[in-house]
Amino acid sequence: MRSLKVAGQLGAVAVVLALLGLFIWKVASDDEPTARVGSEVPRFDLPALDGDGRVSVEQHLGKPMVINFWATWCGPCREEAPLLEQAARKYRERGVVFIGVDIRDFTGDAKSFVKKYDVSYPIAYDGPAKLWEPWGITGLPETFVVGRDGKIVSHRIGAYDNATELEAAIERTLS
Amino acid sequence: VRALLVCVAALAFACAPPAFASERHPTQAELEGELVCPTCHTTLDQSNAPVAVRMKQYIAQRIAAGDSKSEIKAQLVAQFGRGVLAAPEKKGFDLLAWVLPIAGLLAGAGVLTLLLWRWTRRPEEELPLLE
Repeated sequence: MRSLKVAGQLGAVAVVLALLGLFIWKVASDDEPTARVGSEVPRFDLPALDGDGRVSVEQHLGKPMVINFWATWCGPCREEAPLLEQAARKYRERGVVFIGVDIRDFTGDAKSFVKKYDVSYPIAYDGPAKLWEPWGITGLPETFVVGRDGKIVSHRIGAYDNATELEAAIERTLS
Repeated sequence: VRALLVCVAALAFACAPPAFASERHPTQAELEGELVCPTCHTTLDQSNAPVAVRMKQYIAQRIAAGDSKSEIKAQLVAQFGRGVLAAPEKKGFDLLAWVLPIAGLLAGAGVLTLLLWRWTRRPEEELPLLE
């Protein structure tokens, strides 16, 4: 009877320790790096929206990048789309890579959006929003401009009203 | 025991047709109550977020097209991930969320029964003999 009691107490201690370990693991895993100005760009590797291969940050490291998070149900994203496409065409010859990340969206809607706005740069599809927390996204659209060294030089929350701010950030990566 | 079995069988037969009808011909309201808006994390019927509005439109289109409830849910899970389901699935790892509470209740009932059995027996065993 005594050994049963000791076993019960040991079991209770083990359960408490396991719960404590789970709590520590949860706190530690929540502390993932988010994308901030001056920090290294977080990596991702996602399927391309058009179904043709994958889109990743790694494949463009060493080049200036503009990474735009958007969705079709987001009104400001629709307003911003022509401006981004115009900038992408303008800076393509200077080696600037534009990447769109379609997030929390229907692929069918996103494909129509790409066609409607004649988006020429690669679009990654992240329906389940795996990048939302690691990148610290707070709403849509959000845009990150990344330098050749892989560091984020600009982070815009919300749509660009005009090309000036976006182009200024891109120029900083080229100077 | 036989009466109990008859009652359980009758209840199962009574519940089966509505459940089957719900699966084959889901309503907009029940699907909106079983799916979650990915941006605000409330059920669709509680949300007017732009993505929730679009999901409601999609559900209406799929119901009109004759899709079953599980088909519509599977399509939304394929687009947005399993986070859109308001309740965990009854398969794979998610089954644990359904099984563990019941297992916990049964274990608790077992422990309680054991304790009650011991408490009710002890006084009889430890009663001092009266001269």
